[in-house]
Amino acid sequence: MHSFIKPRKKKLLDDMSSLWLIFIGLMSVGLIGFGIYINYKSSFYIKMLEERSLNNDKLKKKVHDLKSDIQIINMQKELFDEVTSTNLLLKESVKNLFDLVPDQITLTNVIMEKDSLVLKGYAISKESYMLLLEPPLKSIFDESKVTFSTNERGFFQFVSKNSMQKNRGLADE
Amino acid sequence: MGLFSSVRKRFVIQLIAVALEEKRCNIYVKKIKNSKVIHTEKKSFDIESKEQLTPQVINYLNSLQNMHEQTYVALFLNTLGQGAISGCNTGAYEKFGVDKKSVKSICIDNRFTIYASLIDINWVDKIFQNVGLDFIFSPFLILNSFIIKDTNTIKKDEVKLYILNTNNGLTIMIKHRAKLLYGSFFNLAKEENLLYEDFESGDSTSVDNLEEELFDEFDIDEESEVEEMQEFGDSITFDDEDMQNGLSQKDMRFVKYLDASLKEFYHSDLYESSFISSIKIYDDAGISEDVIKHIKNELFLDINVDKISILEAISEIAEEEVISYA
Repeated sequence: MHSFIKPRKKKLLDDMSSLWLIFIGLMSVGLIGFGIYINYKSSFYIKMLEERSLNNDKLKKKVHDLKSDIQIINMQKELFDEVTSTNLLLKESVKNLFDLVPDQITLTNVIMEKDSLVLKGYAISKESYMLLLEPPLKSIFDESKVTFSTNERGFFQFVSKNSMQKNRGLADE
Repeated sequence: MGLFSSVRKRFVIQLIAVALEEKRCNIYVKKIKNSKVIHTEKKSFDIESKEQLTPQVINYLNSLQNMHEQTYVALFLNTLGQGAISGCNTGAYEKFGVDKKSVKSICIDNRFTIYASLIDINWVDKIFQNVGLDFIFSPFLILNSFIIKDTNTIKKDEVKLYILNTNNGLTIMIKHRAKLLYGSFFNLAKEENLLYEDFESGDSTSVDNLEEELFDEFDIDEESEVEEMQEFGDSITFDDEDMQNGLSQKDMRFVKYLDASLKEFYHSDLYESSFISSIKIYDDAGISEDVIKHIKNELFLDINVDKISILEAISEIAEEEVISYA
């Protein structure tokens, strides 16, 4: 310092300018604060969105699993239905079969398969079998063979082997 | 601070240099922006006395200050209670009889001290109380700034007398290169009572009277020394005829004070007297040809006069101060 006194303190700006500067400063602080708040919020929402989409994926997978479960169940149901209807048909066939058998013939053994029928039983006479049982069997099966034998009590014992060509089956009757 | 000053540079810095004379107040205004001068203005007001600023001056200065926040008012101190002494240590104060407590002093370049009495500083502060002051500069500082700028003069290995001639003040410095040997300030506007009380009243132009007084003041007892001085004094003082030869009162005072200073320098033990080889005058007030002629004829010294503006110098120093310190 080369002066005998110290200079008076100077303000850098006049009052109006400093007021403006303070105002601008406050505004920018506010804006920055708001910006930070928005940024925070948006990151929060982005995180939430990510969580949701993850959740969504999980749920989609679950839906898919459930759909495949439903499919399996449906298949099981179909199977069940099929089995039920088959059984019903089988029952019907058995009933039909038993209806078919006249009083003169006694069945001792019935082996029923999908496309074959083996009947064992007794008949009073060969004719009774030929007349009463063979015609319906022949009408049903493509092939019908019968063998007779006589047992000790004098009854005709027969073994009738009936078979169908494939794809027809008993159920078609 | 760095940020503050770099920001401040972008604003207008207004420097107002003020120099008070007895009946005039001279003002120089300089505006700087980005280190470039954008406006200068010189104005001069009539004032009643040096002790009081007129309302016009106050209004003008205050209206300038209202225009720019960064306004610095610098005053040229031209009161008598000041001086310059060689050296910066406390020993220097004692040697020259300066009471350190009653002055404000500044060490310049670690070579010499400029000082002004606190009374004077307070006094000018009071004159400017309605305006405000930022800087008060010693005339020695101004003169030194001119000397420093004049690099040629410092280079030479010689003792040189420097004079700052302002309207109402005479500042004298004797330097050997950068070393200050002698410094003194006089008021040219009115008689200085301390030494030359009967200069005008008595046989006014008698230089012998003056010398006697001077020697009384110096308190020199030994006859031989006095004789020696007398001889020397004769050689450097002016003839009565010359004195009357169209010299104004002010010019006479100029010559007289210069004369007294030279005597003091040569004869007082306080100063390392070496032979002065030339005189350089920095002239703000307009020195008369007669005075130059006188000096040439009587002192046989090489004389060189530079026209300068004291107010511009003040504003320059103020600018440096503002940039480097404020």
